[in-house]
Amino acid sequence: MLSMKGKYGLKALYHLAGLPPGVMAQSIEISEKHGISKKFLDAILADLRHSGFVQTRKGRGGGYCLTRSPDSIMVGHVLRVLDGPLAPIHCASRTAYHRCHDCPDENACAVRLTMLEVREAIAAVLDNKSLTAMRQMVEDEKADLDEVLAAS
Amino acid sequence: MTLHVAIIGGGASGTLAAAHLLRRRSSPERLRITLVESREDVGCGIAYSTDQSSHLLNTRVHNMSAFPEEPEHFARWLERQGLSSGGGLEFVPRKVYGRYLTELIAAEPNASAVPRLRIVKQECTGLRPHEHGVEVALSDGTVLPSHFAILATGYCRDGRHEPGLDDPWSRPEKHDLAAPVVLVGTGLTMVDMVMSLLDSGQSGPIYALSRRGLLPQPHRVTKPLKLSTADIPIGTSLAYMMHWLRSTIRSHETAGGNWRDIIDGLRPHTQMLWRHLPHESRGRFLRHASSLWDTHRHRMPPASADRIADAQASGLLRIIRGHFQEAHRTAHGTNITYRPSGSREPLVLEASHAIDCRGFGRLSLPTKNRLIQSLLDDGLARVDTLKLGLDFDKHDALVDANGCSTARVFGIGPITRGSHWEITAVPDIREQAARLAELLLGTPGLNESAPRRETN
Repeated sequence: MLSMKGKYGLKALYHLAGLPPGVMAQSIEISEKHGISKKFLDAILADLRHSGFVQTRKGRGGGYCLTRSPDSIMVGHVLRVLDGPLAPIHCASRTAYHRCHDCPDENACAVRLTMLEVREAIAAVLDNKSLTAMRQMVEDEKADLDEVLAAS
Repeated sequence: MTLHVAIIGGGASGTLAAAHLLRRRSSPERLRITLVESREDVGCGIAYSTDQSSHLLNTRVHNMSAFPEEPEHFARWLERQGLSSGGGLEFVPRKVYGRYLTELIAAEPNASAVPRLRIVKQECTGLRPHEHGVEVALSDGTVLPSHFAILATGYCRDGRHEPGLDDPWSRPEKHDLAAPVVLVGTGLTMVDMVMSLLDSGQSGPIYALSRRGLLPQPHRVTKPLKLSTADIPIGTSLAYMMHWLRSTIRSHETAGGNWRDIIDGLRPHTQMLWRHLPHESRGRFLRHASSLWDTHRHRMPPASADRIADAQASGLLRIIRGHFQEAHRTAHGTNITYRPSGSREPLVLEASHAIDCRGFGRLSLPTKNRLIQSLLDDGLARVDTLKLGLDFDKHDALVDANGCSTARVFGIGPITRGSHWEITAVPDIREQAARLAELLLGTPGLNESAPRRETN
């Protein structure tokens, strides 16, 4: 499931993806706009910098910005870094694997086998959804809403 | 209506493309393939044309089937030839594999009507795509009309190489076996050259020179970890990815496993990894991490590893860490100038000859390869950002100078290295051939201007 860390990280990147080229955003600005504690946000931004999605500049006009075009950053890229392997259940991951305590035979576990399929489906959606596409979704929703309002 | 496909290049990539097309459409009147190759032996290419038995495949038999959905295909062919078997775990000579590839497209069971595949011994000099197909220009002036063309031209070799160094794939001249030989590069080509020198009775020292002196790791029987794309942190920077790889290997080895299980588990995902790797990280990978990756990913058969180790122990083979600077021929042989790692002063090695074992680097432009240069000159193609080959889209369609995908020209094998990176080994190329065959033969009607594509 999506953790708070993952959720806030995506919101922060969503924010940065909306900046004009060359403009940087300070973390206080993001934290106030999206209602995230600044301390928590700073820790998340540090992870995102470490994994190569955002970069910082100090001083006047400094802050955070994306390292590359938002259409090449996928939601799935970010969530693997913030939340670990995409897996709906621990035994469905090879690298963050934990066995369930109450499981006699995981190879015959119907829940696990189902969740292995779910995992692939999650990856298929998230690895094809870019930050640009996220912003587009919001735009489309707004346009739909305006249309409904105009018609009523 | 009959679908005409021209395949440019008859090495392993072109042969696999042809084999997959032939396999998909069985009805003989529906498909015609023309394979354009100026060399004598179709199927072999530079990879499998060696005639030496000590040049082995670097992959086990059970991973070398031409068809991913039929993993036993190569092993069964070996059995029919009476050449088997180590249960699929063995490493057979590359020349045997060359014969396998040749036979793949030679054998047409129902040779009733016109053969579905014909080989044209010509050089392709240019392509002219139009709305309904593509014209393939040949060196004798004829033009071959076809619906699709597939570029299978390998590494765009154009006959040029570093002055003073010998080409490893041309037949070696006789030399004084007691005189020293220098091999520039310490990868799998170096291993092949050491095998040849040992076979010929070399008694003088063999110096192998590379920046870090890293040799290919030997193969062991592995149990690849079944990694899923969901496990791998794709899209992150190279530094983050390498950190993840190292820590995954460390925890796997702590649990009693072997690093090879992780590398082999990553193997089905390497092309996706490359596609998601940020552009800047790709360049950094080529500069800093590719030799380390190659020595672990492209391993040598245990038999070769043993001979290398013996040659090193006896002092016959000496690995030198240093930067190659230049080679020039003298009256007695070849002098190699190099700068030892950690030193500023260049040193000179005197040898009877020196062989270039550095593998295939980037394109040097303009290239003397007529076809590639004409595609670039006509704006039909552009070089990928790292200059590894030409630029192709995610369906392996050629991208033109304006960044638009050409609906009629596709690529397979090392020419598509810029988009896939790991596209030199048969297990990777056969998947690409299968995808390409599905894409081309899935075309519903030939009057349509573009092949059918998936939409994601």
